[in-house]
Formats: sequence, C-alpha cells, structure tokens
Amino acid sequence: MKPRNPSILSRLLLGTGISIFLMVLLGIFIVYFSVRKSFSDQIDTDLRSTANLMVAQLETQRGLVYHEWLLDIEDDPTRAVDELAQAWDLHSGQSVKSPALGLLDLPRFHGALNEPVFQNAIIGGHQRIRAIGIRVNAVPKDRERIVPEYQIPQFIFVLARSTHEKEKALSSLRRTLSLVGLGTFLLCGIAIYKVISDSLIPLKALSDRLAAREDTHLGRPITIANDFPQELRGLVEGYNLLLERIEGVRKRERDFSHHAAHELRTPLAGIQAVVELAMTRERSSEDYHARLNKVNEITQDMRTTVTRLMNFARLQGGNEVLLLERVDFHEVLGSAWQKHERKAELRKVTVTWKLHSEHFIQENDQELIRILVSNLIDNAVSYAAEKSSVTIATKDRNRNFILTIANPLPEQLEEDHERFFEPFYRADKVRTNDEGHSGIGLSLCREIALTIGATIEIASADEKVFEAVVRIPYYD
Amino acid sequence: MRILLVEDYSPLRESITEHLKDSGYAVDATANGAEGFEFATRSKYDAIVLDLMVPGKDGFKILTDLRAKGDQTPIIITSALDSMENRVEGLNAGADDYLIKPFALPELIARIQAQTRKSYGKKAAAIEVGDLKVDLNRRRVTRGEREIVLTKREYGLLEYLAYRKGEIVSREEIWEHVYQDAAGGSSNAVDVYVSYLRKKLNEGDEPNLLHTRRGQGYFLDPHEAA
Repeated sequence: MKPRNPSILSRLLLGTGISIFLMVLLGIFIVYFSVRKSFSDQIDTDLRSTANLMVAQLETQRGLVYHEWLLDIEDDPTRAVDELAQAWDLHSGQSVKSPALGLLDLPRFHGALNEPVFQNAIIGGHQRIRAIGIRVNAVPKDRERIVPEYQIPQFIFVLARSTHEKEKALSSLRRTLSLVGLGTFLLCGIAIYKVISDSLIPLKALSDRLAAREDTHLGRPITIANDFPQELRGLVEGYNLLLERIEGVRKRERDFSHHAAHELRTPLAGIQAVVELAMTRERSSEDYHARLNKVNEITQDMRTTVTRLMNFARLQGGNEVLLLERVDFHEVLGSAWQKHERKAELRKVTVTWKLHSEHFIQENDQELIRILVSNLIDNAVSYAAEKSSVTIATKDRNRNFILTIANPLPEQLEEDHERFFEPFYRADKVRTNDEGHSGIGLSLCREIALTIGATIEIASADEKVFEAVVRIPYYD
Repeated sequence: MRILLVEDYSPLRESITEHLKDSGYAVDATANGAEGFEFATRSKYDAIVLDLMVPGKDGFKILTDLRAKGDQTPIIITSALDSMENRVEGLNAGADDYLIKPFALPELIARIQAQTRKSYGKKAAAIEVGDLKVDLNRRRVTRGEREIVLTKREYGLLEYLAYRKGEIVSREEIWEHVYQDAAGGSSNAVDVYVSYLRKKLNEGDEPNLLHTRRGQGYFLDPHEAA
C-alpha cells in the first residue's frame, strides 16, 4: 500500500475551501429565499388589500348584483390592461371578469367564508400568476333593510397578479448572487492560501535549518527569534529537549569510550615498560620468565577490565536478556567468597558471616547475580583495612532479600556515596588502579541491580566502614 | 640524582623504578598519593614522577599543595588522561612536563634529564669540567681522548657533582640525592664512593678535578689546587 504523506497545506486549503463554499452557498440561499419571500409577501399583501377593497364593491340590491369593482377597472385604462380579477356567482354559476383576462379564466378556488387563500397558477399555458381566492357575500346596498342570510348572493372572488416581473427580478438576483458567491469563494481561497503558505514558512525555515545542521553542531539547541510563531515554539522546545537528551547520551558514550581507553592505557604502559626493561640487556631465562609472567598477569588484568567494560556497556545499552533459573543466594555468596579467599588471606582479611537462617531462593539470572556478588566481595576484600574482617550478612525484611557486604576502611569514606557508582570514579581512597580494578565495579553492580529489579546503595553509618546494601524484592 | 615516583599501578611502578635505578638514579616509589606527598615534603628530590589518579591523595592535589608550599622540584605528570584540557590543567597546576601513558621508558628518562638540567640551569646536553666531559644524554664520560667507564652509582655521583660544578656539595647532600633510598642508610659510605670515582677520573699525572674541602664536602673544579 502506498504510504500517505498528507500535506498540511492541502488539508488546510481543502478544509477551509469546503467551509467557505458551504458558508457562501448558505449565504446565497438565505439572501435569495429572503428576497423571494419578501417579494411573495409583498404581492400577497397587495392582493389581500386590493381584494378586500374589491369585494366590498360587490353589492346587491333587491336581488340584483352590482359589480362596482369591474366598473372601476374599466374606467381606469391602466387597470383595464393589467388587472386580473374574476367573480363567480355561486348561485347561478356565472362569472364576470376583468377585461385583461380576455378569453382566459382565472383558477376558481376559495377557502371558508371571508377567509382568503393564496395560490400560484399558470394561465394561458405560460403566464405565471399569484392569486387570492375568497368566498364572500355580496354587500347589500340598502343597509337599513334587513335581508335574510339565504337571500344574500355568495360569490367566489379571485384576484391575480402576474409574477413575471418577480420571476425576472429573482432570476437576476440568482445570477448576481452566484457571481458574488463565486467571487467571494475565489478571493477567500486565494487569501487563505496566502495566509497558510506564509504561516508555514517558519516551519519550512526550521526544517531547512535542521537539515543544514553540521554533524559537529548536532547537540546545540535551536535558537528562535521573538517573532517565531507561538504554535511552533512547543515543537522547537520539544526538539531542544530531545537534542539535550541525545547529547547527554552521546556524552555518556563519549565519556565511556574515553574512560575505557584510559583504563587500558595504564596496563598497556605497564606491558610496554616491562617489555622495554626486559630488552635493555641480556638476562637469564628465569629473569625473562619472571618478566613474561608479569606481562601475562597484566594481560589477565586487562582481560578482566575489558570483560567488565563489555558487561557494563551491554547492561547500559539495555541489551541484556535475563536468563531466569533457580538461584540460591547463599550458595552464590559462598562460592564468590571462595574465589576471593586467597586474596583475603594475602591481605590478612577474614570474613564474618551473618546469614539469615533460611536460604533465599529465587528465579533470577544466576550469572548476573554472580557478577554482582563477586564484584562486591572483591571490592570489600581489596579495600578492607589490613587484618580486618569483611562482614557478609543477609536478612529478610518486608518481602525483600537484603544483602549487606561491609568492610572497614583504612581511611575516612567519601561523603558523597553516589559518586562511587559513577563509572571510572576513582580518585579516592576506596578504589585504585592497581590489581586490575577498572573503576567500574560498583557502576556495573548498579547496572545489574537495575536490570534485575533490585536496588543498591552505600549505607555506611560509620565513616570508616564501606557498606554496600543490595535489596532484591520477592517476585510473585 | 634522586627521583620520587608516585604510581599506583604496581607493574608500571616496579618497571619504572627498576629502569631508573639501572640508569643510576636513586628512587623512592610509592603507590599512595598521601605517602608520596609526605616523601616530597620530607626529602629533597631532583624530580618527581607523578601519576594523577592515585589513591590517598589526588595527583593534582599533590602538585598544587607542593607548589603552594614553594617547592620548585621539577614534576613530570604521567597520566592516561590524554585530552588537551587535562594536559593544560596539569601544566597550569605547576607541572613541568606531562607524559601520556603508555610511554617508552627512554622517553621518561630523557624528560627527567631535561627537567633536571633545567632546574640546575644547564641547557646543554653535556657538562665540561676542564678536559672532563659528562655527556648527560648518552651517560658517557670522557677526559681528553680517554673514555672513563663508571658504575651506575659512580656515574650518578659524577653527574650530581657536575650539575653543581664549582659548588661545595656536602656529604649528606650527596647521600640524599645519589645513594639514599627511602629505606635509609649511612652517609659515611660517600667517602668511599668519592675515592673510587676520583681514582677513575685522575689517571697518571692528570690534574685532580674532584676536590675535598675538609669538614664541608666535595666539589668539581678544574682550577682548584689539589
């Protein structure tokens, strides 16, 4: 399916175009029908008042009917030509009509007595008329004589006007309104097109600025002038926020690569120095062996550092998939301690176990837990004051498994504990470059804790004790 | 010449120490910044080789604190921090040189020599005392056409006296700058080393260049009467 790329300009133009068209059309209809109704009302009013006057001239006296209205018409040359009127005697069925009708007859219609009704009709096959029909009693001429109702002759009187002029005027009005409507529609369309196009210029300019941005300036925020459209400010602010976040991520990546390179520089310098020194003169095979052994140790340290760096990068990148299996935390602690036991002996550091009576067993990622625990124990053994004791304690609190690994320090602890979790943070008394420590051990622990849904913090009550506390919640 | 080395990475620290000692330098080495600062304030060194990221006391702090105390010992920073900002920061803090890891040991030695020459006001790579010539770069000593073969300690002694040509250098100073390690020792041994060196410098009827000022010390001078 072809992807749709809706154009804002087209949508706005189409939307506003249809709206304007409908509004203009509605306006035309309102004006037209108002005028037409006005015309009709005017004709009807005229017909009604004229008809009332004329039926008053339909008189009777002693059984005779006098059509005074007709005499008036005949006496007026203008009316004799234009006036269309006809009266039917209901009794005899005969009718009289104005001269203008000639051989034609008006339609015969009426309502209740003295209740006029209106009707449109065509006479002579083509002439459109508007007519009023009324059933009336003839007016007795002798007002003093009482005539019984049944003796008064009844008539149907129909008066009509030609609507030719009205139709002509309405036709002209339709043409005028159509032209005005079309003109209005076109003018509004052009004006709206211009306004929309002008309004979209800043968006285009913004797009061009972004497209023209050089790689070296990607992180710089977009600056906007005071007259920049209000509606686009949110977009720019959102974009700047996004840029800031992207720049933050890029900086962290740059710093990580930078620091990672630094971490490898020192052991590289060590290898170079050992090798250079070995080559300064001829030496015994034992001497060469000892020096090669040293290079091998440095290489092992570098391997540990690289592994840690890669683990850290993978965890930071969110690429770690948990491999859940049954983990007995006490077993993991025991085997991790065994791994560091020799180092502890060399430093005359002992261990004090304060484990919870029951084993804590959970479905979790054994390898990540092993790295976490191993790093914490390694940290504790490496930086514990000589001849001191590392304490490894576990407890169960509020559906959390709590692991505490604490070691006495030879010197005071850094006050800002959060700094220990910064990658490569080392210029302190706790972490050092020697013995293959890369400065990311605790950072790695924190990443692992985040990955498995646990927390880790340095919670030392005593300034001379380094105490790492890991809280692992029970998963239901 | 006596060098203080502050470096926490043990393989590097041990190799530099060994190489400096092989080159005739007396070396005090430590992995701890606070201890390094204590050494620097307690003893007089001809140069300090200082790593920036060391436990105990940050390298920058050591540097600024020493300069604040008026200590003008040449300080060469060795660091993995290679950015221009780091180098500028180090030099602005009072370092005399900045060497980025990894580096070649001969380069470190050359830079130490350059800094010590500068601190003793010697710009040339060789010091001449009469017909005696001490080539500081090649660590070669000649008198006239004759090449004098010296041990590391003898060369160290001659180099130190050459740097201070014409000055009386006390037995204690010689001990401190040439022989004494952090472990300590006795300055009485200086007389023995001086007599060994004198024998090698003066052959046949060549005029004596290494003189003794009784109760004060030793000095190199081509004109002084024996």
